[in-house]
Amino acid sequence: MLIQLILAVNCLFLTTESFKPSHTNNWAVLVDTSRFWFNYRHVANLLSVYRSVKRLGIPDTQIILMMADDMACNARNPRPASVFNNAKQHIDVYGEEIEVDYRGYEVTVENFVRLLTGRLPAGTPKSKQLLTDEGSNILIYMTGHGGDGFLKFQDAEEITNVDLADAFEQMWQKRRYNEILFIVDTCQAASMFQKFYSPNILAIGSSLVGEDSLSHHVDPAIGVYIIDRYTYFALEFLESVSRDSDRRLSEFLEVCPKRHCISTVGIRSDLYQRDPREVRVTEFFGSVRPVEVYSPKETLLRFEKNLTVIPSNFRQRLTGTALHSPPRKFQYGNQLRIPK
Amino acid sequence: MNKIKETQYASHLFIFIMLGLGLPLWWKTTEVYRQELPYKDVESLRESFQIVQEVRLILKVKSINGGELAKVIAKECSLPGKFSVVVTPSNYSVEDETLSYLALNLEDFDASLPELEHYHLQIIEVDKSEKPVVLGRRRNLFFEKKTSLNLLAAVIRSILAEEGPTSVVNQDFDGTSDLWNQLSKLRRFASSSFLNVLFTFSNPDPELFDIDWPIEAAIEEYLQPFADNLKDIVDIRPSSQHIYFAPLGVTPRKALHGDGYEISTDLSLLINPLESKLGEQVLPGPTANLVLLVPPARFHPLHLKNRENSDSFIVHRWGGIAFYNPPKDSNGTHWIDMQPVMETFIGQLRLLIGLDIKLPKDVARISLNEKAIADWEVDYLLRLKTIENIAYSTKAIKSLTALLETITNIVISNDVASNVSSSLESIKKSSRLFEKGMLKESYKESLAASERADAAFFDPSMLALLYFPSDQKYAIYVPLFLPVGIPVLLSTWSLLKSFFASSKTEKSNINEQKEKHHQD
Repeated sequence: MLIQLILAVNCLFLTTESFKPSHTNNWAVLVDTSRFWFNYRHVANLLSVYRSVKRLGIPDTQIILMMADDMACNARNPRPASVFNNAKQHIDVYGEEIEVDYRGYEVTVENFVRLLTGRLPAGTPKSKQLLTDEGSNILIYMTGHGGDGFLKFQDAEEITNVDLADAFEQMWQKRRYNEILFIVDTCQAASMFQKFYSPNILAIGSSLVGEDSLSHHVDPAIGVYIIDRYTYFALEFLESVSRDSDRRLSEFLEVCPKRHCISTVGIRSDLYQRDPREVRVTEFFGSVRPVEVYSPKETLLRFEKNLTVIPSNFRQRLTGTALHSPPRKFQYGNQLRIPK
Repeated sequence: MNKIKETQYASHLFIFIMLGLGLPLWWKTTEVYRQELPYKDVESLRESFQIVQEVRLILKVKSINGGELAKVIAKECSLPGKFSVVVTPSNYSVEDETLSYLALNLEDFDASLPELEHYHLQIIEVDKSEKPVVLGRRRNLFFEKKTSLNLLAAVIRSILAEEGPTSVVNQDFDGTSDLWNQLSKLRRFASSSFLNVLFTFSNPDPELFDIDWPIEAAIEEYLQPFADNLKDIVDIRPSSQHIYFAPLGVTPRKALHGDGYEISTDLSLLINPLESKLGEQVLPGPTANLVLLVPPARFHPLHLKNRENSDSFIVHRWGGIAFYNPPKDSNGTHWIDMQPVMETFIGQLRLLIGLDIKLPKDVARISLNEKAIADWEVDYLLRLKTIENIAYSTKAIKSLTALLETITNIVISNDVASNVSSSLESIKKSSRLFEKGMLKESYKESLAASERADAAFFDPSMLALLYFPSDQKYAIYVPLFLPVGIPVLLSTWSLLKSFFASSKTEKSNINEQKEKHHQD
């Protein structure tokens, strides 16, 4: 009896929690800025974060995945159609239900900035647009090769930290986000968030200016470095988070101390208004959908026409079938025509 | 001597060409094309409204003093800075008396009263009604002699969207503002000229349940009258589909009372497995998803734990999901009775559009038939959305101009400039029409204003030269101009040197001559 009461109280708390407007939906923008076989680890980084985010509840329609996608079907891949993030090859992070929104040569600086600011040409499909609103919490994760003040996109161009800061400011002016968690795993990552000036952004970089981010280990079967240090330890942390976990963002900020990461993790929290100790990890990595039980006043909508009897003109449109038509049998079509 | 003069003339020419022609030419051609925007006018748009809306009410009385009551209502309901309410008192005319006598009940009376074009609402005294205030299906409000004045005024204020936004600043979503306003705003779709409504029927076990729904007929009979009434506000575009084999995202528990299963928490987890199959991204623009979910056979029958009158829930800014438990045995294809289903869906659609009016306790409403919306509710929506649109467009063009002043290397094309000016024009026009109480016209203008403001803000051309900050500009041009520039600078230097030298020799010559004169 007491246990039932406690459970009931807990449920009540949960339902009102879902109304408390700290944010109304979650999005994730995951970008891998490099290509070619020797950058295997960047793809593994990205896909590991993608998997965690999907496991914690963000649907594919709210994840924008930008990567060159040239690993799984690469001629050098000894295990085709799979990408691993661990030499022990426990999990295939490529998986079967992956939805890449910008792939191959579509991953450019221009497309990235257009995605963030919303200035895509008319006719762009919805899956390629960032349809956020003023209540969205966005997780932005970027990985690749970087330098002091820039990030290299596919060996051909760069995005500077000034451009990124301006893009975020344009997002803020149009209220396209509530809060952003910006994670960068490249060399000299901290330089990318030096120039931010818009509010409500919490930024984490895997190394400071002047330091290189290092990779974790080599898989001798594949022949390249398979994951980066910061993402490896961040993933270890995320594996312990589940949908209703109470782990806080302050714990996530302490992941990968210097003895593990060798580079120093840089954090910028002056633009972020809340205390990371009060923010749950699932507020960025998981998904919130405000849901309300529909309880109408019974007397309000009372339709007078009754369609239980299907009107005759409709019956004619559905040629042949009537109110109680003979049973339909659903069966698979004959796909393998083996002669009897 | 001549040679030196020639070289000097040549240097003069080079310097003139480079600094006089070249430098201005380079400056002009590397300038970012920026069309003039009406910065002053945009500055003058205010963040908080001072649009005083004129509201015209007519009061029809039988047994009490109309003039007195009209004055009091006008005073109570007017809100300085927002509403100026004008109440015209009158007595029951002969037609009104006849209609009142012939009507069987309040519903008939409401339906038979003539529509008065000039007035926004008719406040009518009746002999007896089930509650102190009754709201009709058209633009009529009925009250009794003993109804309290406070209640009457409170109801009128709710109908006039008094709780709506009063300033641009209020439009921001922040966790601290009034929860009711926030809830309503977060639930409803953003204002737009059309809304796709996608009806989905999800059957996870088609080999066990042979069910179908007459959705085409249902849309025609039940949705169409609703959509027709909303055509001034939003264009509803229905479509429908069936999906199969979508798993249930939550494992339900056995029901505590009765048989069957129930779900109480984690309702949002039901949406994810559906979403990948819904395909709503194919429809352009905002889409409301109304899903009729048949639970898997092993969880039959399935109910929501806290269901009150319907087994359904609303997902903010997304749509709604309703459960349907088919009867266990049916021979042949079972056709769903669409009336309760569509009552649920259209009720949810009303909330998703924004019809969430907080009425005080002792107010009854005449039930709505397939029209599904009362005329005064249409007015309420027009008011709410007009203010929302005006606030949105004001915010958009103010932030656009602020942005373009800060980030100086974004191109401003002619399209952007013309969209900004026409949006500004529409905002002003819409405010003027709103003040006169012309709701439909002002809504149209405000919608045009917000669409043009969006077109200006999200113009794809505003990206050129984005990765060309000023310090990099110098880094690119210095190596180009320096090789040409160095000889020119050196010759300038030598010219100046020779000029000073010649002026010095002239001076020394003059001094020598003076000395000579002195000596002589």
